[in-house]
Amino acid sequence: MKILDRISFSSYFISPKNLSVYRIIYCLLILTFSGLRSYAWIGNDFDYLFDPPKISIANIFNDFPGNNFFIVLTILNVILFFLMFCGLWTKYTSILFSLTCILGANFIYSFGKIDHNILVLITPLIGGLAGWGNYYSIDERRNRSKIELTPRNREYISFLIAVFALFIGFSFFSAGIVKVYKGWWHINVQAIKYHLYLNYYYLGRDKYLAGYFLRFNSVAFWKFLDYFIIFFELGFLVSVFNRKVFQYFLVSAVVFHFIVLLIYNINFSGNLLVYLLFIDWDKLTTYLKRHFKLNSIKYFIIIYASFMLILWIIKFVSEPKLVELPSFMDFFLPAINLPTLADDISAFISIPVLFFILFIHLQKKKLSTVDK
Amino acid sequence: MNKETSRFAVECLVSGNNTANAIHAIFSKKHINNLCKKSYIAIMDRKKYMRIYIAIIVLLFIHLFVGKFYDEPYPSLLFPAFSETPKEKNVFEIKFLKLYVVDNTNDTLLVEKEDLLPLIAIHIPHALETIKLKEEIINDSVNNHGTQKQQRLLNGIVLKKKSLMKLMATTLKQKFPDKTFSWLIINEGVRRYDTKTQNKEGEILSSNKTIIKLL
Repeated sequence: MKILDRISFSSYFISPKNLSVYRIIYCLLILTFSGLRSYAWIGNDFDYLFDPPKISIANIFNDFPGNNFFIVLTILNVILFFLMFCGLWTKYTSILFSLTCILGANFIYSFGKIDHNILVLITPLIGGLAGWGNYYSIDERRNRSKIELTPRNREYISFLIAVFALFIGFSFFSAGIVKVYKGWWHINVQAIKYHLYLNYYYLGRDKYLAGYFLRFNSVAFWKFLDYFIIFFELGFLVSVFNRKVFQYFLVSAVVFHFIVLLIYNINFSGNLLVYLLFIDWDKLTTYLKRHFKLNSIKYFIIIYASFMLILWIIKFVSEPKLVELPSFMDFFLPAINLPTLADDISAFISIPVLFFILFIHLQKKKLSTVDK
Repeated sequence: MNKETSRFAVECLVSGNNTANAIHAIFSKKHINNLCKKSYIAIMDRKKYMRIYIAIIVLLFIHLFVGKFYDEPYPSLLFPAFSETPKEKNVFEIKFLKLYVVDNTNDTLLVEKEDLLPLIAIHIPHALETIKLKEEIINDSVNNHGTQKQQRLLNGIVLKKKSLMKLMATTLKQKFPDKTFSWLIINEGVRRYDTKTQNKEGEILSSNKTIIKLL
Protein backbone atom coordinates (compact mmCIF):
# COMPACT_ATOMS: atom_id res chain seq x y z
CA MET A 1 0.00 0.00 0.00
CA LYS A 2 2.94 2.32 0.61
CA ILE A 3 3.76 2.51 -3.06
CA LEU A 4 0.12 3.41 -3.80
CA ASP A 5 0.16 6.17 -1.19
CA ARG A 6 3.01 7.76 -3.07
CA ILE A 7 1.05 8.08 -6.29
CA SER A 8 0.46 11.67 -7.12
CA PHE A 9 -2.52 11.76 -9.44
CA SER A 10 -1.96 15.49 -9.85
CA SER A 11 1.34 14.87 -11.62
CA TYR A 12 -0.74 13.44 -14.48
CA PHE A 13 -2.88 16.55 -14.74
CA ILE A 14 -3.47 17.95 -18.23
CA SER A 15 -5.48 21.14 -18.51
CA PRO A 16 -8.80 20.93 -20.41
CA LYS A 17 -7.40 23.40 -22.93
CA ASN A 18 -4.46 21.13 -23.67
CA LEU A 19 -6.72 18.08 -23.70
CA SER A 20 -8.80 19.85 -26.33
CA VAL A 21 -5.68 20.42 -28.44
CA TYR A 22 -5.00 16.70 -28.09
CA ARG A 23 -8.56 15.94 -29.28
CA ILE A 24 -7.96 17.96 -32.43
CA ILE A 25 -4.58 16.29 -33.06
CA TYR A 26 -6.01 12.82 -32.34
CA CYS A 27 -8.76 13.35 -34.93
CA LEU A 28 -6.37 14.92 -37.46
CA LEU A 29 -3.98 11.97 -37.22
CA ILE A 30 -6.85 9.49 -37.59
CA LEU A 31 -8.04 11.39 -40.68
CA THR A 32 -4.54 11.56 -42.13
CA PHE A 33 -3.09 8.14 -41.46
CA SER A 34 -5.58 5.46 -40.48
CA GLY A 35 -9.08 6.57 -41.42
CA LEU A 36 -11.97 4.65 -39.91
CA ARG A 37 -12.43 1.02 -40.81
CA SER A 38 -15.58 -0.28 -42.38
CA TYR A 39 -17.59 -3.08 -40.82
CA ALA A 40 -20.03 -3.08 -43.72
CA TRP A 41 -18.32 -5.98 -45.51
CA ILE A 42 -19.16 -8.35 -42.64
CA GLY A 43 -22.24 -10.34 -43.44
CA ASN A 44 -23.88 -13.72 -43.25
CA ASP A 45 -21.48 -15.16 -45.85
CA PHE A 46 -18.93 -15.37 -43.02
CA ASP A 47 -21.23 -17.09 -40.50
CA TYR A 48 -19.32 -20.36 -40.89
CA LEU A 49 -16.24 -18.65 -39.43
CA PHE A 50 -18.03 -16.98 -36.50
CA ASP A 51 -15.95 -17.74 -33.42
CA PRO A 52 -16.20 -14.78 -31.01
CA PRO A 53 -14.24 -14.44 -27.76
CA LYS A 54 -16.23 -16.29 -25.08
CA ILE A 55 -16.41 -13.22 -22.83
CA SER A 56 -17.61 -10.56 -25.24
CA ILE A 57 -20.74 -8.87 -26.53
CA ALA A 58 -20.43 -10.68 -29.87
CA ASN A 59 -20.81 -14.01 -28.07
CA ILE A 60 -24.43 -13.12 -27.29
CA PHE A 61 -25.12 -13.68 -30.99
CA ASN A 62 -25.24 -17.06 -32.73
CA ASP A 63 -23.98 -15.66 -36.04
CA PHE A 64 -22.88 -12.32 -37.44
CA PRO A 65 -25.82 -9.91 -37.42
CA GLY A 66 -27.08 -9.04 -40.89
CA ASN A 67 -25.17 -6.81 -43.29
CA ASN A 68 -27.46 -3.83 -42.62
CA PHE A 69 -26.44 -3.83 -38.96
CA PHE A 70 -22.82 -3.31 -39.95
CA ILE A 71 -23.63 -0.64 -42.54
CA VAL A 72 -25.52 1.34 -39.86
CA LEU A 73 -22.71 0.76 -37.35
CA THR A 74 -20.07 2.08 -39.76
CA ILE A 75 -22.09 5.16 -40.72
CA LEU A 76 -22.83 5.89 -37.06
CA ASN A 77 -19.14 5.51 -36.26
CA VAL A 78 -18.12 8.03 -38.94
CA ILE A 79 -20.81 10.54 -37.93
CA LEU A 80 -19.82 10.30 -34.25
CA PHE A 81 -16.19 10.84 -35.23
CA PHE A 82 -16.96 14.10 -37.04
CA LEU A 83 -19.22 15.29 -34.21
CA MET A 84 -16.41 14.57 -31.74
CA PHE A 85 -13.92 16.35 -33.99
CA CYS A 86 -15.94 19.54 -34.26
CA GLY A 87 -16.89 19.27 -30.60
CA LEU A 88 -20.65 18.94 -30.59
CA TRP A 89 -21.97 17.18 -27.46
CA THR A 90 -18.35 16.08 -27.22
CA LYS A 91 -18.56 14.10 -23.99
CA TYR A 92 -21.33 11.86 -25.31
CA THR A 93 -20.13 11.61 -28.92
CA SER A 94 -16.63 10.65 -27.71
CA ILE A 95 -17.96 7.92 -25.44
CA LEU A 96 -20.30 6.60 -28.13
CA PHE A 97 -17.52 6.75 -30.74
CA SER A 98 -15.36 4.55 -28.51
CA LEU A 99 -18.22 2.14 -27.93
CA THR A 100 -19.07 1.80 -31.64
CA CYS A 101 -15.38 1.20 -32.44
CA ILE A 102 -15.16 -1.47 -29.75
CA LEU A 103 -18.39 -3.15 -30.88
CA GLY A 104 -17.26 -3.22 -34.53
CA ALA A 105 -13.82 -4.50 -33.58
CA ASN A 106 -15.45 -7.19 -31.44
CA PHE A 107 -17.17 -8.61 -34.52
CA ILE A 108 -14.02 -8.36 -36.64
CA TYR A 109 -12.12 -10.26 -33.95
CA SER A 110 -14.83 -12.91 -34.03
CA PHE A 111 -12.81 -14.57 -36.80
CA GLY A 112 -10.49 -15.76 -34.03
CA LYS A 113 -7.61 -13.27 -33.98
CA ILE A 114 -7.70 -10.32 -31.57
CA ASP A 115 -5.67 -7.26 -32.52
CA HIS A 116 -4.40 -5.28 -29.59
CA ASN A 117 -5.32 -1.72 -30.47
CA ILE A 118 -7.73 -1.22 -27.59
CA LEU A 119 -5.80 1.73 -26.11
CA VAL A 120 -6.44 3.76 -29.26
CA LEU A 121 -10.13 2.86 -29.13
CA ILE A 122 -10.64 3.85 -25.48
CA THR A 123 -8.73 7.14 -25.78
CA PRO A 124 -11.88 9.08 -26.81
CA LEU A 125 -13.77 7.55 -23.88
CA ILE A 126 -11.17 8.77 -21.38
CA GLY A 127 -10.79 12.08 -23.23
CA GLY A 128 -14.54 12.66 -23.33
CA LEU A 129 -14.89 12.05 -19.60
CA ALA A 130 -11.87 14.26 -18.84
CA GLY A 131 -13.34 17.17 -20.78
CA TRP A 132 -11.39 17.22 -24.04
CA GLY A 133 -14.34 18.92 -25.70
CA ASN A 134 -14.42 21.95 -23.40
CA TYR A 135 -12.35 24.14 -25.71
CA TYR A 136 -11.90 24.59 -29.47
CA SER A 137 -15.34 23.11 -29.97
CA ILE A 138 -18.92 23.99 -30.78
CA ASP A 139 -19.70 23.16 -27.15
CA GLU A 140 -17.42 26.00 -26.07
CA ARG A 141 -19.21 28.42 -28.39
CA ARG A 142 -22.54 27.35 -27.02
CA ASN A 143 -21.00 28.05 -23.61
CA ARG A 144 -22.36 24.86 -22.19
CA SER A 145 -19.28 23.15 -20.99
CA LYS A 146 -16.95 25.92 -19.93
CA ILE A 147 -16.02 24.72 -16.50
CA GLU A 148 -14.33 26.45 -13.66
CA LEU A 149 -11.14 24.59 -12.87
CA THR A 150 -11.69 23.80 -9.20
CA PRO A 151 -9.33 21.56 -7.20
CA ARG A 152 -12.05 18.96 -7.45
CA ASN A 153 -12.03 19.08 -11.26
CA ARG A 154 -8.25 18.98 -11.30
CA GLU A 155 -8.23 15.86 -9.15
CA TYR A 156 -10.89 14.25 -11.36
CA ILE A 157 -8.97 14.92 -14.60
CA SER A 158 -5.68 13.84 -13.03
CA PHE A 159 -7.29 10.62 -11.81
CA LEU A 160 -8.64 9.76 -15.28
CA ILE A 161 -5.27 10.36 -16.95
CA ALA A 162 -3.53 8.35 -14.21
CA VAL A 163 -5.93 5.45 -14.83
CA PHE A 164 -5.15 5.66 -18.54
CA ALA A 165 -1.43 5.52 -17.72
CA LEU A 166 -2.19 2.49 -15.54
CA PHE A 167 -3.87 0.81 -18.54
CA ILE A 168 -0.76 1.38 -20.66
CA GLY A 169 1.54 0.06 -17.94
CA PHE A 170 -0.69 -2.94 -17.34
CA SER A 171 -0.86 -3.82 -21.03
CA PHE A 172 2.92 -4.07 -21.23
CA PHE A 173 3.04 -5.92 -17.91
CA SER A 174 0.52 -8.50 -19.16
CA ALA A 175 2.86 -9.34 -22.04
CA GLY A 176 5.92 -9.47 -19.77
CA ILE A 177 4.46 -11.69 -17.05
CA VAL A 178 3.35 -14.31 -19.59
CA LYS A 179 6.87 -14.34 -21.05
CA VAL A 180 8.26 -15.10 -17.59
CA TYR A 181 5.63 -17.81 -17.06
CA LYS A 182 6.47 -19.45 -20.41
CA GLY A 183 10.20 -19.57 -19.70
CA TRP A 184 11.77 -16.62 -21.53
CA TRP A 185 14.08 -16.11 -18.58
CA HIS A 186 15.76 -19.50 -19.03
CA ILE A 187 19.41 -19.10 -20.01
CA ASN A 188 19.21 -21.68 -22.82
CA VAL A 189 16.18 -20.14 -24.49
CA GLN A 190 16.59 -17.69 -27.36
CA ALA A 191 13.03 -16.45 -27.46
CA ILE A 192 13.40 -13.25 -29.45
CA LYS A 193 15.40 -14.96 -32.14
CA TYR A 194 12.85 -17.77 -32.29
CA HIS A 195 10.09 -15.24 -32.87
CA LEU A 196 12.18 -13.59 -35.57
CA TYR A 197 12.28 -16.95 -37.39
CA LEU A 198 8.55 -17.43 -36.81
CA ASN A 199 7.77 -13.99 -38.25
CA TYR A 200 10.18 -14.36 -41.14
CA TYR A 201 9.28 -17.86 -42.31
CA TYR A 202 5.72 -18.49 -41.11
CA LEU A 203 4.26 -15.02 -41.47
CA GLY A 204 6.50 -13.83 -44.30
CA ARG A 205 7.58 -10.64 -42.54
CA ASP A 206 10.92 -10.17 -44.28
CA LYS A 207 11.16 -6.40 -44.78
CA TYR A 208 13.65 -3.81 -43.44
CA LEU A 209 16.28 -5.36 -41.12
CA ALA A 210 14.61 -8.76 -40.61
CA GLY A 211 16.97 -10.62 -42.96
CA TYR A 212 20.06 -9.00 -41.49
CA PHE A 213 19.16 -9.90 -37.90
CA LEU A 214 18.18 -13.43 -38.95
CA ARG A 215 21.82 -14.03 -39.87
CA PHE A 216 23.11 -12.45 -36.65
CA ASN A 217 24.20 -15.28 -34.36
CA SER A 218 25.55 -13.77 -31.14
CA VAL A 219 24.00 -15.76 -28.29
CA ALA A 220 24.88 -13.04 -25.74
CA PHE A 221 23.16 -10.35 -27.84
CA TRP A 222 19.92 -12.29 -28.22
CA LYS A 223 19.82 -13.35 -24.57
CA PHE A 224 20.45 -9.78 -23.47
CA LEU A 225 17.45 -8.71 -25.58
CA ASP A 226 15.28 -11.41 -23.97
CA TYR A 227 16.08 -10.13 -20.48
CA PHE A 228 15.82 -6.50 -21.50
CA ILE A 229 12.31 -7.00 -22.90
CA ILE A 230 11.16 -8.86 -19.77
CA PHE A 231 12.40 -6.11 -17.44
CA PHE A 232 11.08 -3.37 -19.70
CA GLU A 233 7.57 -4.86 -19.88
CA LEU A 234 7.33 -5.76 -16.21
CA GLY A 235 8.80 -2.42 -15.16
CA PHE A 236 6.21 -0.48 -17.14
CA LEU A 237 3.51 -1.24 -14.57
CA VAL A 238 5.66 -0.07 -11.66
CA SER A 239 6.64 3.06 -13.57
CA VAL A 240 3.08 4.41 -13.61
CA PHE A 241 3.39 5.19 -9.89
CA ASN A 242 5.96 7.86 -10.68
CA ARG A 243 5.12 10.29 -13.47
CA LYS A 244 8.73 10.99 -14.42
CA VAL A 245 9.76 7.33 -14.51
CA PHE A 246 6.65 6.66 -16.59
CA GLN A 247 7.86 9.28 -19.04
CA TYR A 248 11.18 7.42 -19.40
CA PHE A 249 9.27 4.22 -20.12
CA LEU A 250 7.16 5.97 -22.76
CA VAL A 251 10.30 7.22 -24.50
CA SER A 252 11.69 3.67 -24.35
CA ALA A 253 8.39 2.30 -25.68
CA VAL A 254 8.70 4.49 -28.77
CA VAL A 255 12.22 3.15 -29.40
CA PHE A 256 10.91 -0.38 -28.68
CA HIS A 257 8.15 -0.04 -31.30
CA PHE A 258 10.68 1.28 -33.81
CA ILE A 259 12.94 -1.75 -33.30
CA VAL A 260 9.95 -4.10 -33.51
CA LEU A 261 8.96 -2.46 -36.80
CA LEU A 262 12.46 -2.83 -38.24
CA ILE A 263 13.07 -6.41 -37.12
CA TYR A 264 9.62 -7.99 -36.86
CA ASN A 265 7.81 -5.71 -39.34
CA ILE A 266 4.97 -5.27 -36.84
CA ASN A 267 3.53 -1.79 -36.92
CA PHE A 268 2.28 -0.45 -33.59
CA SER A 269 1.91 3.13 -34.81
CA GLY A 270 -1.60 3.27 -33.30
CA ASN A 271 -0.04 3.17 -29.84
CA LEU A 272 2.02 6.26 -30.65
CA LEU A 273 -1.24 8.18 -30.83
CA VAL A 274 -1.89 7.12 -27.23
CA TYR A 275 1.59 8.05 -25.94
CA LEU A 276 1.11 11.47 -27.53
CA LEU A 277 -1.25 12.33 -24.67
CA PHE A 278 1.71 12.42 -22.30
CA ILE A 279 3.85 15.01 -24.08
CA ASP A 280 4.58 18.44 -22.66
CA TRP A 281 1.46 20.21 -23.89
CA ASP A 282 2.36 23.59 -22.41
CA LYS A 283 5.55 23.66 -24.42
CA LEU A 284 3.83 22.55 -27.61
CA THR A 285 1.00 25.07 -27.38
CA THR A 286 3.47 27.87 -26.56
CA TYR A 287 5.51 26.87 -29.60
CA LEU A 288 2.41 26.80 -31.82
CA LYS A 289 1.30 30.19 -30.56
CA ARG A 290 4.74 31.68 -31.14
CA HIS A 291 5.31 30.33 -34.63
CA PHE A 292 1.86 30.14 -36.17
CA LYS A 293 -1.14 32.35 -36.35
CA LEU A 294 -3.86 30.51 -34.43
CA ASN A 295 -6.52 31.66 -36.84
CA SER A 296 -4.66 30.21 -39.82
CA ILE A 297 -4.31 26.85 -38.01
CA LYS A 298 -8.01 26.94 -37.17
CA TYR A 299 -9.04 27.60 -40.78
CA PHE A 300 -6.65 24.95 -42.08
CA ILE A 301 -8.16 22.34 -39.75
CA ILE A 302 -11.73 23.30 -40.65
CA ILE A 303 -10.98 23.16 -44.40
CA TYR A 304 -9.09 19.86 -44.08
CA ALA A 305 -11.82 18.17 -42.02
CA SER A 306 -14.53 19.47 -44.36
CA PHE A 307 -12.56 18.20 -47.37
CA MET A 308 -12.33 14.70 -45.83
CA LEU A 309 -16.01 14.75 -44.87
CA ILE A 310 -17.02 15.72 -48.41
CA LEU A 311 -14.79 12.97 -49.85
CA TRP A 312 -16.50 10.46 -47.56
CA ILE A 313 -19.98 11.66 -48.58
CA ILE A 314 -19.06 11.44 -52.30
CA LYS A 315 -17.64 7.95 -51.79
CA PHE A 316 -20.67 6.91 -49.76
CA VAL A 317 -23.12 8.20 -52.40
CA SER A 318 -21.23 6.56 -55.30
CA GLU A 319 -20.63 3.22 -53.51
CA PRO A 320 -23.13 2.87 -50.64
CA LYS A 321 -21.74 -0.56 -49.71
CA LEU A 322 -18.24 0.79 -49.03
CA VAL A 323 -18.92 3.16 -46.20
CA GLU A 324 -15.51 3.28 -44.53
CA LEU A 325 -13.76 6.62 -44.03
CA PRO A 326 -10.48 6.35 -45.94
CA SER A 327 -7.50 8.29 -44.63
CA PHE A 328 -5.81 11.10 -46.51
CA MET A 329 -2.89 8.69 -47.10
CA ASP A 330 -5.28 6.17 -48.67
CA PHE A 331 -6.11 8.81 -51.25
CA PHE A 332 -2.66 10.30 -51.61
CA LEU A 333 -0.24 7.33 -51.60
CA PRO A 334 -1.81 5.35 -54.48
CA ALA A 335 -1.47 8.55 -56.53
CA ILE A 336 2.32 8.39 -56.09
CA ASN A 337 2.46 4.58 -56.40
CA LEU A 338 3.20 3.80 -52.74
CA PRO A 339 -0.05 2.19 -51.57
CA THR A 340 1.40 -0.72 -49.61
CA LEU A 341 3.68 1.38 -47.44
CA ALA A 342 0.99 3.70 -46.05
CA ASP A 343 1.07 2.33 -42.49
CA ASP A 344 4.82 2.04 -42.26
CA ILE A 345 5.38 5.54 -43.60
CA SER A 346 3.20 6.95 -40.83
CA ALA A 347 5.27 5.01 -38.28
CA PHE A 348 8.60 6.13 -39.75
CA ILE A 349 7.49 9.75 -39.66
CA SER A 350 5.83 9.74 -36.27
CA ILE A 351 8.37 7.72 -34.27
CA PRO A 352 11.26 10.26 -34.33
CA VAL A 353 8.84 13.17 -33.87
CA LEU A 354 7.16 11.58 -30.87
CA PHE A 355 10.48 10.46 -29.40
CA PHE A 356 11.68 14.05 -29.58
CA ILE A 357 8.61 15.64 -28.01
CA LEU A 358 8.31 13.01 -25.27
CA PHE A 359 11.96 13.53 -24.47
CA ILE A 360 11.51 17.30 -24.13
CA HIS A 361 9.24 16.61 -21.16
CA LEU A 362 12.13 14.94 -19.34
CA GLN A 363 14.40 17.93 -19.77
CA LYS A 364 12.26 20.08 -17.54
CA LYS A 365 13.38 20.39 -13.95
CA LYS A 366 9.91 19.94 -12.53
CA LEU A 367 6.85 18.46 -14.16
CA SER A 368 4.22 21.05 -14.76
CA THR A 369 1.01 20.54 -12.90
CA VAL A 370 -0.28 24.08 -13.06
CA ASP A 371 -2.93 24.99 -15.53
CA LYS A 372 -1.71 27.86 -17.63
CA MET B 1 -3.94 35.65 3.23
CA ASN B 2 -3.61 36.63 -0.43
CA LYS B 3 -4.85 34.64 -3.37
CA GLU B 4 -1.46 33.13 -4.19
CA THR B 5 -0.93 31.86 -0.63
CA SER B 6 -4.37 30.33 -0.46
CA ARG B 7 -3.78 28.67 -3.83
CA PHE B 8 -0.49 27.32 -2.51
CA ALA B 9 -2.25 25.97 0.57
CA VAL B 10 -4.82 24.30 -1.61
CA GLU B 11 -2.09 22.74 -3.77
CA CYS B 12 -0.31 21.39 -0.71
CA LEU B 13 -3.43 19.92 0.76
CA VAL B 14 -4.52 18.34 -2.50
CA SER B 15 -1.16 16.75 -3.16
CA GLY B 16 -0.97 15.38 0.38
CA ASN B 17 2.45 16.96 0.77
CA ASN B 18 4.18 17.41 4.14
CA THR B 19 3.96 21.14 3.61
CA ALA B 20 0.28 20.81 4.46
CA ASN B 21 1.32 20.31 8.09
CA ALA B 22 3.20 23.58 7.95
CA ILE B 23 0.13 25.34 6.63
CA HIS B 24 -1.86 23.90 9.55
CA ALA B 25 0.73 25.27 11.96
CA ILE B 26 0.54 28.77 10.51
CA PHE B 27 -3.22 29.11 10.26
CA SER B 28 -6.02 28.04 12.55
CA LYS B 29 -8.12 25.09 11.46
CA LYS B 30 -11.22 27.23 11.26
CA HIS B 31 -9.39 29.69 9.06
CA ILE B 32 -8.25 26.94 6.74
CA ASN B 33 -11.73 25.45 6.70
CA ASN B 34 -13.13 28.74 5.52
CA LEU B 35 -10.45 29.35 2.97
CA CYS B 36 -9.97 25.87 1.64
CA LYS B 37 -13.36 24.21 1.88
CA LYS B 38 -13.07 23.08 -1.69
CA SER B 39 -9.65 21.62 -1.14
CA TYR B 40 -10.92 19.49 1.75
CA ILE B 41 -13.52 18.12 -0.62
CA ALA B 42 -10.68 17.44 -3.03
CA ILE B 43 -8.84 15.47 -0.31
CA MET B 44 -11.95 13.38 0.25
CA ASP B 45 -12.11 12.92 -3.52
CA ARG B 46 -8.51 11.79 -3.54
CA LYS B 47 -9.33 9.08 -1.00
CA LYS B 48 -12.30 8.04 -3.08
CA TYR B 49 -10.22 7.99 -6.26
CA MET B 50 -7.50 6.02 -4.51
CA ARG B 51 -10.05 3.34 -3.57
CA ILE B 52 -11.32 3.21 -7.17
CA TYR B 53 -7.72 3.08 -8.42
CA ILE B 54 -6.95 0.09 -6.21
CA ALA B 55 -10.18 -1.60 -7.31
CA ILE B 56 -9.17 -1.08 -10.95
CA ILE B 57 -5.76 -2.67 -10.28
CA VAL B 58 -7.47 -5.71 -8.71
CA LEU B 59 -9.87 -5.99 -11.67
CA LEU B 60 -6.98 -5.75 -14.13
CA PHE B 61 -5.23 -8.69 -12.47
CA ILE B 62 -8.45 -10.73 -12.56
CA HIS B 63 -8.70 -9.78 -16.24
CA LEU B 64 -5.12 -10.99 -16.80
CA PHE B 65 -5.80 -14.28 -15.03
CA VAL B 66 -9.02 -14.95 -16.96
CA GLY B 67 -7.44 -13.89 -20.26
CA LYS B 68 -4.47 -16.18 -19.92
CA PHE B 69 -6.01 -19.24 -18.28
CA TYR B 70 -9.55 -19.27 -19.74
CA ASP B 71 -10.14 -17.20 -22.87
CA GLU B 72 -9.09 -13.69 -23.80
CA PRO B 73 -12.13 -11.44 -23.34
CA TYR B 74 -12.96 -8.48 -25.52
CA PRO B 75 -12.41 -5.59 -24.90
CA SER B 76 -9.04 -6.68 -23.60
CA LEU B 77 -6.11 -4.67 -22.31
CA LEU B 78 -3.75 -7.60 -22.67
CA PHE B 79 -0.91 -7.07 -25.10
CA PRO B 80 0.31 -9.92 -27.30
CA ALA B 81 2.95 -11.79 -25.32
CA PHE B 82 4.72 -13.68 -28.15
CA SER B 83 5.46 -16.05 -25.32
CA GLU B 84 6.20 -19.30 -27.18
CA THR B 85 9.71 -20.57 -26.69
CA PRO B 86 11.77 -22.99 -28.79
CA LYS B 87 12.26 -26.54 -27.54
CA GLU B 88 15.94 -26.69 -28.44
CA LYS B 89 18.84 -24.27 -28.48
CA ASN B 90 19.84 -23.09 -31.99
CA VAL B 91 17.23 -25.33 -33.61
CA PHE B 92 13.82 -23.83 -34.19
CA GLU B 93 10.68 -25.66 -35.20
CA ILE B 94 8.49 -23.31 -37.21
CA LYS B 95 5.00 -23.96 -38.51
CA PHE B 96 4.19 -23.52 -42.18
CA LEU B 97 0.94 -23.06 -44.00
CA LYS B 98 0.41 -23.41 -47.74
CA LEU B 99 -2.88 -23.06 -49.55
CA TYR B 100 -3.55 -24.74 -52.88
CA VAL B 101 -6.60 -24.73 -55.09
CA VAL B 102 -7.46 -27.40 -57.63
CA ASP B 103 -9.37 -26.52 -60.78
CA ASN B 104 -11.75 -28.72 -62.78
CA THR B 105 -8.87 -29.98 -64.96
CA ASN B 106 -7.04 -31.15 -61.82
CA ASP B 107 -4.40 -28.44 -62.10
CA THR B 108 -3.09 -27.36 -58.70
CA LEU B 109 -2.22 -23.75 -57.97
CA LEU B 110 -0.50 -22.26 -54.93
CA VAL B 111 -2.47 -19.23 -53.69
CA GLU B 112 -1.89 -16.52 -51.11
CA LYS B 113 -4.18 -15.86 -48.16
CA GLU B 114 -5.18 -12.59 -49.80
CA ASP B 115 -6.41 -14.47 -52.90
CA LEU B 116 -8.80 -16.59 -50.87
CA LEU B 117 -10.50 -14.13 -48.53
CA PRO B 118 -8.85 -10.73 -49.01
CA LEU B 119 -10.98 -8.94 -46.43
CA ILE B 120 -9.91 -11.25 -43.62
CA ALA B 121 -6.45 -12.26 -44.90
CA ILE B 122 -4.86 -11.52 -41.53
CA HIS B 123 -7.37 -13.84 -39.81
CA ILE B 124 -6.92 -16.74 -42.24
CA PRO B 125 -4.80 -19.05 -39.98
CA HIS B 126 -7.48 -18.78 -37.26
CA ALA B 127 -10.30 -19.05 -39.79
CA LEU B 128 -8.77 -22.25 -41.19
CA GLU B 129 -8.69 -23.71 -37.68
CA THR B 130 -12.42 -22.99 -37.39
CA ILE B 131 -13.04 -24.54 -40.82
CA LYS B 132 -11.16 -27.73 -39.89
CA LEU B 133 -12.95 -27.99 -36.54
CA LYS B 134 -16.36 -27.63 -38.15
CA GLU B 135 -15.40 -30.13 -40.89
CA GLU B 136 -14.81 -32.66 -38.12
CA ILE B 137 -18.17 -31.83 -36.52
CA ILE B 138 -19.92 -32.29 -39.86
CA ASN B 139 -18.13 -35.59 -40.58
CA ASP B 140 -18.89 -36.95 -37.08
CA SER B 141 -22.54 -35.97 -37.35
CA VAL B 142 -22.88 -37.54 -40.80
CA ASN B 143 -21.40 -40.81 -39.52
CA ASN B 144 -23.47 -40.90 -36.30
CA HIS B 145 -27.10 -40.10 -37.05
CA GLY B 146 -28.21 -37.84 -34.20
CA THR B 147 -31.58 -36.61 -33.02
CA GLN B 148 -33.83 -34.49 -35.20
CA LYS B 149 -32.63 -31.33 -33.46
CA GLN B 150 -29.00 -32.26 -34.06
CA GLN B 151 -29.78 -32.89 -37.71
CA ARG B 152 -31.38 -29.44 -38.01
CA LEU B 153 -28.28 -27.86 -36.45
CA LEU B 154 -26.09 -29.82 -38.82
CA ASN B 155 -28.13 -28.64 -41.82
CA GLY B 156 -27.63 -25.06 -40.60
CA ILE B 157 -23.85 -25.53 -40.40
CA VAL B 158 -23.76 -27.11 -43.86
CA LEU B 159 -25.70 -24.17 -45.32
CA LYS B 160 -23.25 -21.70 -43.74
CA LYS B 161 -20.35 -23.72 -45.11
CA LYS B 162 -21.82 -23.64 -48.62
CA SER B 163 -22.24 -19.90 -48.39
CA LEU B 164 -18.59 -19.39 -47.37
CA MET B 165 -17.23 -21.78 -50.02
CA LYS B 166 -19.26 -19.98 -52.66
CA LEU B 167 -17.75 -16.69 -51.51
CA MET B 168 -14.23 -18.15 -51.74
CA ALA B 169 -14.89 -19.57 -55.21
CA THR B 170 -16.27 -16.22 -56.42
CA THR B 171 -13.24 -14.37 -55.00
CA LEU B 172 -10.86 -16.80 -56.73
CA LYS B 173 -12.79 -16.44 -59.98
CA GLN B 174 -12.25 -12.68 -59.84
CA LYS B 175 -8.50 -13.21 -59.45
CA PHE B 176 -8.25 -16.03 -62.02
CA PRO B 177 -11.16 -15.42 -64.42
CA ASP B 178 -10.30 -18.25 -66.84
CA LYS B 179 -10.30 -20.97 -64.17
CA THR B 180 -12.96 -22.64 -62.06
CA PHE B 181 -11.69 -24.06 -58.80
CA SER B 182 -13.46 -26.90 -57.07
CA TRP B 183 -11.16 -27.93 -54.21
CA LEU B 184 -9.12 -26.19 -51.54
CA ILE B 185 -6.08 -27.93 -50.02
CA ILE B 186 -4.73 -26.70 -46.70
CA ASN B 187 -1.18 -27.94 -46.24
CA GLU B 188 0.15 -27.43 -42.73
CA GLY B 189 3.19 -28.73 -40.97
CA VAL B 190 6.39 -27.98 -39.14
CA ARG B 191 9.83 -27.15 -40.54
CA ARG B 192 13.05 -27.33 -38.59
CA TYR B 193 15.66 -24.59 -39.01
CA ASP B 194 19.21 -24.79 -37.76
CA THR B 195 20.32 -21.25 -36.96
CA LYS B 196 23.98 -22.19 -37.47
CA THR B 197 23.68 -23.67 -40.96
CA GLN B 198 21.18 -20.98 -42.01
CA ASN B 199 19.45 -23.32 -44.47
CA LYS B 200 16.57 -21.18 -45.70
CA GLU B 201 14.39 -24.10 -46.77
CA GLY B 202 14.54 -25.94 -43.46
CA GLU B 203 13.86 -29.61 -42.94
CA ILE B 204 10.24 -30.76 -43.04
CA LEU B 205 9.35 -32.55 -39.79
CA SER B 206 5.65 -33.06 -40.36
CA SER B 207 3.08 -32.19 -42.96
CA ASN B 208 -0.60 -32.88 -43.32
CA LYS B 209 -3.25 -31.94 -45.82
CA THR B 210 -6.90 -31.10 -45.37
CA ILE B 211 -9.01 -31.16 -48.53
CA ILE B 212 -12.20 -29.13 -48.68
CA LYS B 213 -14.74 -29.03 -51.47
CA LEU B 214 -15.35 -25.53 -52.78
CA LEU B 215 -18.14 -26.15 -55.27
